[in-house]
Amino acid sequence: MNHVIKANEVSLTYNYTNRVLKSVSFELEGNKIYGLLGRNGAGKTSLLSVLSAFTKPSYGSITIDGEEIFENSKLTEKIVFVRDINLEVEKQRLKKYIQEISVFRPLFDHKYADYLIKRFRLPTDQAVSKLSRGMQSALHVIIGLASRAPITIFDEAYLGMDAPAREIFYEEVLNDYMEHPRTFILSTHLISEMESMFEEVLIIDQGKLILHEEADVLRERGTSITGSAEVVDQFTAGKKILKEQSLGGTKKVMIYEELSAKEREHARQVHLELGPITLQELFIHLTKEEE
Amino acid sequence: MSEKKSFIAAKSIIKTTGNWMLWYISILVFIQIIFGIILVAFGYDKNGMPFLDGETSWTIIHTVSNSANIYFLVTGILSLGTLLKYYISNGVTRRDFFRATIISMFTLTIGLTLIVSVLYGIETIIYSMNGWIRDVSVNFMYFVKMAVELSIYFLIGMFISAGFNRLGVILGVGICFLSVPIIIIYSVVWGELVDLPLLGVLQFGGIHFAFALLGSLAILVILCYFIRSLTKNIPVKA
Repeated sequence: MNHVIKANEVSLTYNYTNRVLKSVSFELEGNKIYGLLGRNGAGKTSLLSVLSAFTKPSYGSITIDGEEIFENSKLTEKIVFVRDINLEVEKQRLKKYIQEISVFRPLFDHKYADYLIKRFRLPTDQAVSKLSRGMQSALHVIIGLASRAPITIFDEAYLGMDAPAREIFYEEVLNDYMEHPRTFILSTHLISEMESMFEEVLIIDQGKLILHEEADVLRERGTSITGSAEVVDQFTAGKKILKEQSLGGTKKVMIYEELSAKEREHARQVHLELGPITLQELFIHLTKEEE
Repeated sequence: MSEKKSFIAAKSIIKTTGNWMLWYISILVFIQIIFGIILVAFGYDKNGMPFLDGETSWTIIHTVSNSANIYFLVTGILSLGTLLKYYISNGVTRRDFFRATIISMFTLTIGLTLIVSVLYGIETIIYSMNGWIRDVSVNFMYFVKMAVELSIYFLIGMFISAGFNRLGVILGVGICFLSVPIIIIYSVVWGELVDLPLLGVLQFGGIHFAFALLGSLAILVILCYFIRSLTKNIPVKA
């Protein structure tokens, strides 16, 4: 089932003065993979905390299918919010730990959890507290995926995992999303690794939502232009330039602006090379600009 | 659905805190056995009271009642820390968590009281088998009072924790101080001697059991009201 998440002017203030979210509004139509990007301290975790009912917004509202999420038992069981938390006090063995959590998740798939335990090569005979940080991260991911919650949120839960484990995670998110479509929200710093997964991207900076766009549209908006420095300068004059690099007489400029067919044709005529830019490059420069 | 969630959470809390309680009671029983051995072997009980002519004044009830209040106070404090975070993370609302905590509190206080009464019974059998005499006797009312008292200490623990969490350190410390008159009122309601500095000893004699129960119930309800008010919108750090 498709669940529409709507944030309306959501603000969050800590200790009456520290405003960590500033009038954030967006609508997620659901059953997509969303990327939530932002620099450290931008407000990603605060926004996800409000969405998961960990905290009540100071102002504004956040709803699922028109119903307020905070203290709504019917909705909170549909949200799983996975963070990379330390499990050093958990003395149970892995399967028992999963078993105890699964009672709160009506759609929990134990077979899938077992499959993921094998895939991530987690030892089932050890106490959870004895697992390495990477293994604990994998355990969080297993619970997040096997819960099959209609709204599954991963807040950098995979940072402790090594590259092969992260690769498994990306594969499993995509496979499980295809088999059991639902809303995934992935908050990350590892944009280059994950950008191909995102269908929509939200960028948050200093507590404000500065961008919410389809990932493909966003990528099309950014273009890299390479060629003779003089020609490049002429071509990009008046355009929104993100980054410039020069080497000898050659220059590469990244712009954040969609080029018309006529402009593209003109670029070819003057021997300029046009190319895409990555989401990471866009993110770096968009958030830098806001400083 | 909401009620079902509170019961699922209650079962889970009982499992966790019940496990802690079993450790706690096992350690107490072990201590009691050691003291029993010392008592019989050396002729003195743990208060230095002579164990003369097969008579003593110390029982398992004394061992438990001296520490169980503190144990339940600490459990109450912990329940609003790590436990709240765990259950909110698993989709349980604050309302359901509060209900679950109260259910588990009554289950555990009644459970501990029953365990203690059974242990006391076993102790009595051992005493009578050996022909020892105790100058202590407890009745049903004593066990009811014990369960109520443990519940009050548990709620005071929660109240202190909620105060620090929601009102900050200064008001949190204020709630710690506020818990002292709550305990005094509770003791007065049960007709106990309360030694107040400057004011001397306070005691209402001839307190009726039903009045004491009603008074305790009122304290429990008031504590629940304040805890719920403080924790209704309590934020949980992700």
